[in-house]
Amino acid sequence: MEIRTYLRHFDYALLAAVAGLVGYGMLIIYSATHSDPNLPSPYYYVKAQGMAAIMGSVLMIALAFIDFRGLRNYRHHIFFAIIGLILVVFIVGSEAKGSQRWIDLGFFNLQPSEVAKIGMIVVLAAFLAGRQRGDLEGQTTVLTLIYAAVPTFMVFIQPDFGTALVLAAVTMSLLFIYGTRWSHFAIIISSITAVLFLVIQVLPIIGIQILKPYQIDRLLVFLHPDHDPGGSGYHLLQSKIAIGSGMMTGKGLYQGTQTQLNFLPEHHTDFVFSVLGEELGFIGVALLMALYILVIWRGLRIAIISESLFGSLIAGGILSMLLFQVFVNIGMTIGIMPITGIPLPFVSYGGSSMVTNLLAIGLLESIHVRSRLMGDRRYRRAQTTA
Amino acid sequence: MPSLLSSSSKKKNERKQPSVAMRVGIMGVMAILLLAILLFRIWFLQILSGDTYIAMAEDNRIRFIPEEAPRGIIYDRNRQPLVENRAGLAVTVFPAALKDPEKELAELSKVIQVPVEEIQKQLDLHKEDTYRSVVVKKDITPEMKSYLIERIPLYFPGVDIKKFPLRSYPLKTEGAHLLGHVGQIDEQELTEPRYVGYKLGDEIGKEGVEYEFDRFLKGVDGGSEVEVDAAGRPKVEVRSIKAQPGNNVVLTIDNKLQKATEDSLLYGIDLAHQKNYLAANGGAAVVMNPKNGEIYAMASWPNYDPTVWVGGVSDSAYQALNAEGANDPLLNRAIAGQYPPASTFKSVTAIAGLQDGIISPLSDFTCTGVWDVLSQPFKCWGSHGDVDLNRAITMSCDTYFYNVGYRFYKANSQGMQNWARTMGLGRETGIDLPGEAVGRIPDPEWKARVGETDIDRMWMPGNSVNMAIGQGDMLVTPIQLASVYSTIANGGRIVKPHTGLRVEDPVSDTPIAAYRPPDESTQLGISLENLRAVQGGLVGATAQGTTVGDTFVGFPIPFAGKTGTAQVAGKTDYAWYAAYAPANDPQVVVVVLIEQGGGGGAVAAPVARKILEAYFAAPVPAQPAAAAAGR
Repeated sequence: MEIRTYLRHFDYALLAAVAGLVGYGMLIIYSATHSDPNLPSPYYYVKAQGMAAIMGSVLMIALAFIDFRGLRNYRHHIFFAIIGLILVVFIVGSEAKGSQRWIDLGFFNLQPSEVAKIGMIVVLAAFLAGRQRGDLEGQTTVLTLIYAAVPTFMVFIQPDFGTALVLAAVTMSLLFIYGTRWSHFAIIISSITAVLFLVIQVLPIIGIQILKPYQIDRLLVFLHPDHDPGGSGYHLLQSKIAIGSGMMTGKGLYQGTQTQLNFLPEHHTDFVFSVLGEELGFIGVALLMALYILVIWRGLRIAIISESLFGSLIAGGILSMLLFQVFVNIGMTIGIMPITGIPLPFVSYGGSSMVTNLLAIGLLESIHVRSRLMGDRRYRRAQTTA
Repeated sequence: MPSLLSSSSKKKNERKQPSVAMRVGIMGVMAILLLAILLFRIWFLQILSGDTYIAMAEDNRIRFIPEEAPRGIIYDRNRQPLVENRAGLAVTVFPAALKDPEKELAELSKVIQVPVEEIQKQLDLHKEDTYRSVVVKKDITPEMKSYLIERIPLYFPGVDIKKFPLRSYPLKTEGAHLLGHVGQIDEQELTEPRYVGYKLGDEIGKEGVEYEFDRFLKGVDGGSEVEVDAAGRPKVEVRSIKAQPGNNVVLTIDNKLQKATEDSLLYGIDLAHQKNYLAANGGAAVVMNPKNGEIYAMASWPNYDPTVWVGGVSDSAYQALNAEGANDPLLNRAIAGQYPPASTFKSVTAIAGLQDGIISPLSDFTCTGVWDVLSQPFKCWGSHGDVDLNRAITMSCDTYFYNVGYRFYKANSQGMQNWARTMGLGRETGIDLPGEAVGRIPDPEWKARVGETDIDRMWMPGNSVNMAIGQGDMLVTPIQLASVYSTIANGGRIVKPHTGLRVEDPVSDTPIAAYRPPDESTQLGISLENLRAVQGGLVGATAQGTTVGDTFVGFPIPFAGKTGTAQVAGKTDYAWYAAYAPANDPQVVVVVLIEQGGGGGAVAAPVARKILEAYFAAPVPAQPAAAAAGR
């Protein structure tokens, strides 16, 4: 098949929206980091982010050309690769802020938990799409949960609570799109609630700490931010001050006092949105939202036009992954979601996250191209029969 | 092409159920809902509450760093600096930048050695001013500084070190009582009319000249608004107002004479010890111009090191100064010490007697050593035979003055009291220093008021007799006595003792205010003839063989002087000497008091001689009339 045929069926609106987000993100990262005197160059972070974006784009385009349907055959390989990578992290991983997350590849810090997100979408979608009509529904649900639980739990004990949450959310979305019964959801959700209650409230009282205390602090601080203005609450407060003081048009790029004077913590990673809110105001926020809406709209469209359940599941999974991260990250900066360390897709600084998200877009493009090609062929067949 | 690209599905192509599209649609609705929640919340933050957050962001980044204006310099009359400023270092805290106030303040407290409660108190004073950094410790040591500087960015983001003008005393303890000290204004003081326009945390003069001329000495504080980063490091100065230093004050004091006076006073105490008056441990001396009231020197012992107040007095230092047995080093005895004037008062008794016609200069009384007109005998210190006024003063004959006092009593006259008051006793001299005591002039009305028994409440002949020799219940301060002898010296005018000469602009040094003598007539109406009679006695009293013994043998300048030896119940005698010189054209009055020093002639007079010698070795130059005649 000719490359040109592929190129004709690319979803360019999606590509444009993603490119916009990546560029927008790099601008904000530059603003947040360029005045840091400890950097070898003001472009240090932007360059690294750009490199990750280029690497991710290459992989994205490669993936777009691959027929995604072939991935179904590799679901076990992918699954065990994920488990293996996460295990490697436990052995040789670099530690940061009390958790082991990275594998230092020399040129790149690979964060397997990020890659696990997209990997697990493919694995679970392949599993679900492969279930036969006669299979027991309860069995499907339980097996899916077991499948998902293994990497989720491993990521959780790294600990990377945020990614574990994303994996859980993606699993639920996939079950939802697959058509799992409502009663199953009810059971799952109530069990999760019970477990969380146990972990956060009950077990610490009797001395079993599953979450580290700082994690519980961060999880609960959004409920009462004034409780601890020196610690997590301080970060949240500074973030709200940054965003709130941006007002309609913002203080101007590079002019955010909260950002430039370092009152805002983690301003190029977890709290990058606060920088945007402060410097570019509500208008800048609206522009970012518009780009995300474009991505989500194109994603939804791809999920619907996909010829196969596998494609729809992957597209839906990717969509839920992106949406969940956007919601939790921004929600965290404005105090309506817990502080979990989930990056803002395409915008937060971080190579693994960038590559993963671009891989996801590559998958979406692959599904798009495939379904358009199918449409083409069917169209042609209809033409010839007529 | 790799197989993946072209692989058609090997599994049977499962059909999508129509419900998948519907569920994806539901996801779309969810997406819109979630993004709407975010946008709504962001709208609330940015558009509806933006102003609040703008203010909070400003509070974060802007810090007001007050710049305390240096106080004016205090000069002596020769423009020798007596009190200057030095650049000290102060630790400030910016409360809003503290992340964990309790912990950080506790740490800071250990470093700067100020109790946490003290730090908290300072912070509370400025609670309303959230963007102001508050001075919590003045005058830190270099060790504290280097320790803090290293740790501020990491551990003490709200703490800073800045320059802070502090008082310094080039002449060490010299003039400590006179000059006073500064301290932080307290809430009580803020309510006083004197301090209208002052603000919390201001440094004010607490004693002495610092207090009296505070309005002039105090400058106008400035400060700057500085943009700081999260670690408290200043980035840019947003706005600044320069502090204006206070005006300089030039005093009437002559620093060389001040030193000589203090040294002489100490010499006197030493002398008392040598003469076995071992309890002698306090005293005062005043040197003053009898014509215009300018104080040339003022000494008080024990003294203290004024640097203990710099940067705030420590509890231990303050307790030491006020300890029992420290003998009140903070008390300026020259203006606030009250003592029986003893024989120095005989000049006043004489003037009263002459003016009221009770005696004439030639009246004679016979002294046998004991005056026994009343049932209780009154002793004289010697047996002087026939005594006229001149001899009475010269020899300090008690019997003569017992007679004068008794005559006043018999005449039912309060002439002694009236003349004492007229000459400035029993009330403040009005010297421009705070804390002046008024002394006491006993009279029948006073006795009736304070007496505990009926007998006590009655004015007895013995009261008048005792008063005539300056004993009994009468009390005077050294400055009052200096004022009285000025009046005798200058021909009967009362002068107002003062220490302030003029106030100068700190930049141009031009006078902006100057001491202005009182407008009202100061002539007391003492006849010249009577005054001459007393003066003659006082001059005679400086000769060898009088009460001064041979103290003034070889002193080249004729002068006038009077000893006093005050009896105080339960104490050794207090030694007085009051003098003016030269006799014919008095330029200087010297009053010396030594607590429990014994005889005035033996202990106080030698001190006066030393002071007079110092004065005449280097006479104090008069100030140019132009400067003194200013506003």
